[in-house]
Amino acid sequence: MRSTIRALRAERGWSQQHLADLLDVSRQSVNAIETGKYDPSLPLAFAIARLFERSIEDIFDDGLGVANAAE
Amino acid sequence: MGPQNSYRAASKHFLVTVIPLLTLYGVLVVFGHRLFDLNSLSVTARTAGAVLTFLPMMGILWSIHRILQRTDEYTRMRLFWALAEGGIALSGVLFAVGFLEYFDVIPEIPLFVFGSIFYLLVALALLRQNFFKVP
Repeated sequence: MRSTIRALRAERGWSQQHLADLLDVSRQSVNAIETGKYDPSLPLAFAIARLFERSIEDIFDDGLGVANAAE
Repeated sequence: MGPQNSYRAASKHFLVTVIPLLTLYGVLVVFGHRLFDLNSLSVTARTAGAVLTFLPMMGILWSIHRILQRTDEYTRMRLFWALAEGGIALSGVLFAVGFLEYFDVIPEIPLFVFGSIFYLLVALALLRQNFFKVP
């Protein structure tokens, strides 16, 4: 799943470790989510959205939004 | 910061617990039986020796259970994968070694050795995750 976490983090000048500390997860978790290697659970996705003051849909994109809208 | 430090606290607690226990287990396995003549000991004494030797391993198992409960979801997923792959690989090793023993190709290997082999296989699975970006 694609996400805008890396860009949002960069806007704030946060390192992966700093974001990981704020979310109480490992730095590897943040890296895995940023690179699309790992899709976070709903609770973690909500925590990320709250932290960046965005909606989940603003941050995560499963690539199906356009296809679903077209149906 | 309270709960925000729980992931780090869990990781630190795991290392602080497991490293001494693993060292103690290694020392007991390698040197324990050399301190005594096992044939001269009573069954009770030998039982006590066996229990004392595997107690550190029980502590390690408890620590693994705790880290699985307390760590973050991504690390938990990686650990579960590594434990599953280690278990699958161990079953292969057990079948292979078991039949090699059964057909008298190799001498009998103490069962507790396979416990160590399991953790080695889990460690290899974790390394594989790091180098090959799986699962």
